[in-house]
Amino acid sequence: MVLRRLKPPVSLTIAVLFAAIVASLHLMSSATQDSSRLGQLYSSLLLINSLGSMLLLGLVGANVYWMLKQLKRKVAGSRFTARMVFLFILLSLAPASIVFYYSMQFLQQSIDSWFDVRIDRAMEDALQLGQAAMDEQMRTVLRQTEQAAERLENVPDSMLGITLSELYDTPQDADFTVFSKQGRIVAASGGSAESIVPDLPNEGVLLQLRRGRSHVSLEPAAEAGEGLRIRAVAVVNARDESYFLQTLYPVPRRLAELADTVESAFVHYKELNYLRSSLKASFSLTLSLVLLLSLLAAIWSAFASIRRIVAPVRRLVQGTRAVAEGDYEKRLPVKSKDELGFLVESFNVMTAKLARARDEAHNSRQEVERQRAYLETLLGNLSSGVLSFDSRLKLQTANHASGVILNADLPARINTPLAKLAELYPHLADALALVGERGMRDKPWQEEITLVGPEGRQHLLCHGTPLLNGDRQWQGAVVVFDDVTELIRAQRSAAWGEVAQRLAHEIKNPLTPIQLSAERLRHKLGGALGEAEAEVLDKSTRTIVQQVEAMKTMVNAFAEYAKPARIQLQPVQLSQLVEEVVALYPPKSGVRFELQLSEGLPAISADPVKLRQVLHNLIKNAQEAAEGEGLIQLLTRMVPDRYHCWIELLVRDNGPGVAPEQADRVFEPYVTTKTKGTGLGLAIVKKIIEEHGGTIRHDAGYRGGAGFIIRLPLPDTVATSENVIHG
Amino acid sequence: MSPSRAGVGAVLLAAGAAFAATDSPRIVRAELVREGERHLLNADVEYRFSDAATEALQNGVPLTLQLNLQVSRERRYRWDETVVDEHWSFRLRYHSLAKLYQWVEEDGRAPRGFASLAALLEEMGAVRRLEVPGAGVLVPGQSYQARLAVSLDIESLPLPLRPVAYLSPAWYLASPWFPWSFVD
Repeated sequence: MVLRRLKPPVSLTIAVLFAAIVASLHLMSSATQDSSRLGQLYSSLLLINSLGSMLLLGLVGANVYWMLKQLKRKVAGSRFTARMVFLFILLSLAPASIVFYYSMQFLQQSIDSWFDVRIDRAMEDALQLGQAAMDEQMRTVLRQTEQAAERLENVPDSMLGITLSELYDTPQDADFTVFSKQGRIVAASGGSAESIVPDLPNEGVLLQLRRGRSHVSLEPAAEAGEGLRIRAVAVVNARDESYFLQTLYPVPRRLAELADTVESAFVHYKELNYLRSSLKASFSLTLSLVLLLSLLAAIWSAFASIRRIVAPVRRLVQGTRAVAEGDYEKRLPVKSKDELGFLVESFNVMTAKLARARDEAHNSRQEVERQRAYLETLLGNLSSGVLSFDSRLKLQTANHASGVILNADLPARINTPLAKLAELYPHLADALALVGERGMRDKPWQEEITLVGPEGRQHLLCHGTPLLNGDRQWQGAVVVFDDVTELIRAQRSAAWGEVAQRLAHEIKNPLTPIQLSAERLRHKLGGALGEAEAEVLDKSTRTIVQQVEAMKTMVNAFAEYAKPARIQLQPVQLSQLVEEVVALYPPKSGVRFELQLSEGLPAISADPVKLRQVLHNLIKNAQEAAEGEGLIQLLTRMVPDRYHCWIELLVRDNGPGVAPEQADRVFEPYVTTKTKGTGLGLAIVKKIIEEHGGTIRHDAGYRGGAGFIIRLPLPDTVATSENVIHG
Repeated sequence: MSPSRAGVGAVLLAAGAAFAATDSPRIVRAELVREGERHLLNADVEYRFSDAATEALQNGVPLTLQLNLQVSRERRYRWDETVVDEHWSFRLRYHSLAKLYQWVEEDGRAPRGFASLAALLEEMGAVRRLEVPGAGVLVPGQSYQARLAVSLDIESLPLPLRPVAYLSPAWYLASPWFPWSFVD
């Protein structure tokens, strides 16, 4: 982060780079053009610029490599970058190449134009002219020297100095020196006071002199910048030995200056001519380096700038990809305030809105899911059956209660059309047809439907509600129904109880006076009447008393039926109880038993006295119904259902059975097909069973006679009988 | 010679050493003798110029030669210490008017002229009694390692010639170092 903050902006880097390059190139260009102090830096500048070029070449190479890699990997924005870079290079390379080509042409021609054959010739001539003038001077000096040498011949050594002074008595700048072959100075004379030690010729000249030849040469003066001088040496044959006479004669100043000018110009021209190709190469090198450096810097800058320009586009592409993949949290940094920055900002706003919409949708979905779960739980725990159908009358909803009530696995038949359901469950066909017909209505409806299922006749109270859309168009229907069979039965039982209680009360009261009155009549009139009348009276009064007894019994039975429950609950093994009761009916009693009693059933909480009565009533009922020898099947077992565990007792006989039309009323008082009995047996059985929190129903599936199914709850799974009755 | 130029020269000379030409100077003998308080250098150098260098000289391009002397003292466990590092430069030029090859020394003395290049090189090759100003630091009785080399100073060439001179073997005129040991 700190590094990023310290990093200079790209534009500044580029500006500094360009400034450095321009400065370096300017210095090199200046150094190329003149030989001033910058000339000394030429090689350094050349090296620096070459290294700079290599560095830039490396940078450009790295950038190109990076770009190609990105292109290969199909990174976002890479093609855009490549296109822009290509365009930029093309645009910068084309004019630069043209300028370079013509500059090179111009350079070559300009340098060539400096040199001309005529100037060459003039220079050569000027030099030769100078040399001719100098040669003339040299010849004169040599002649004079040789003449002087002749005069010095045969002069004794001691006289050499004086003779020499006499010879050159005229004051001039020339120096005269007589020296031996070994270089020993014998005599010296001259006008230049500065030269204390005479300047002797070098070994080469001495060798030439020793061979007896004179020497003359032109050479620069001893002091730099003093012009030219002529050195002439001649052999002096003295008396004792040979000497050399040297004359150092300065060339006249004007002549020396002219000669020097000609010589310098000639040398300069010759040097230039010699350096012509090198000069061209040098200028070309500088120009090429300028072009190369500028181009490379421009290309590198182009890379840097293009990368900067493309960065937001690349980020946008990456962001779009992320959004396409479902990442709505993607936010792009807004780094510029231009149109691209605006685009990036708009993208951020868009993704934020998308994310919000997604969250809202997610929340709504969760809410719907929650509602659905809530509804499912509600429907699942509802005792009423709920069915819903869509516009094509396909089953859409069926709660658990609907399946239980209708004895059909409707929750597993979702999306099944109504007609198909009717085929699958024939006992529901009529009811479903009715629902289909009613369900098409636009208004709510209510209807009581009776159907005959595996468990007998059922009364359903149905409420239908149409499902309408926003345009009030029918989209389906919801049907809610309750099994009111038990309710109707209970109402009927309650009504009978009331009737029985009143009947007992109203009828029982006059019976005793009637019985007493009849007995009194017999007692009082028995003796007073004749035998025949007495017999009639006796028979009549006995009949009255018997019938009154019978009526009393009947009324007591009614009273018993209507009496509130008084049961003493205790753990009872049902199978054991059945065995005990059956044992009371010996084979000669005309009834045979077939027992299928499950061993190890859990004990139920019941009143054994009442349960015995139930069994007696049922056995009696079967015995009375049977024609001939009765066969009674008794079966006990444990039956679990969704919520409870029940102990089930099946009682079946081989009698004529129950007529279907009476099946649902068989437990009502005085509903009987038998000629004997009070008609209260089954009603009392039902009352007792219900007092124990159990149920009894006619086994409609059994065809061999009458069958009854009793279910008694296990104590830990159901409320007490009190709760059931009074609750 | 400025440090930067010396640096550049060193880099480019090192590159050029790969093509050390046969036409290069060679040091045959060298010695450093004490004479009182002074130290004098005597050496025999065999100068050989390539055709390119000779041609340039004849075409008016002055050539600058540099004689380098280094004296170092051996040290145990460390780099040898360079106690003397002296340079002498002298220029060769051709005087067209006088048809002379000239040997110009740095000390401002009059240039010495020679009718032939060979004579000049022979004279220049015999280094006699060349005073070494920086040798005052040498301790008598101490043994030293000395080495001598001569090379053409490319940086003194005309500017257009320098890139070519740096890159061409014909212009690589430098003798290998001539080492010797002595006791002062």
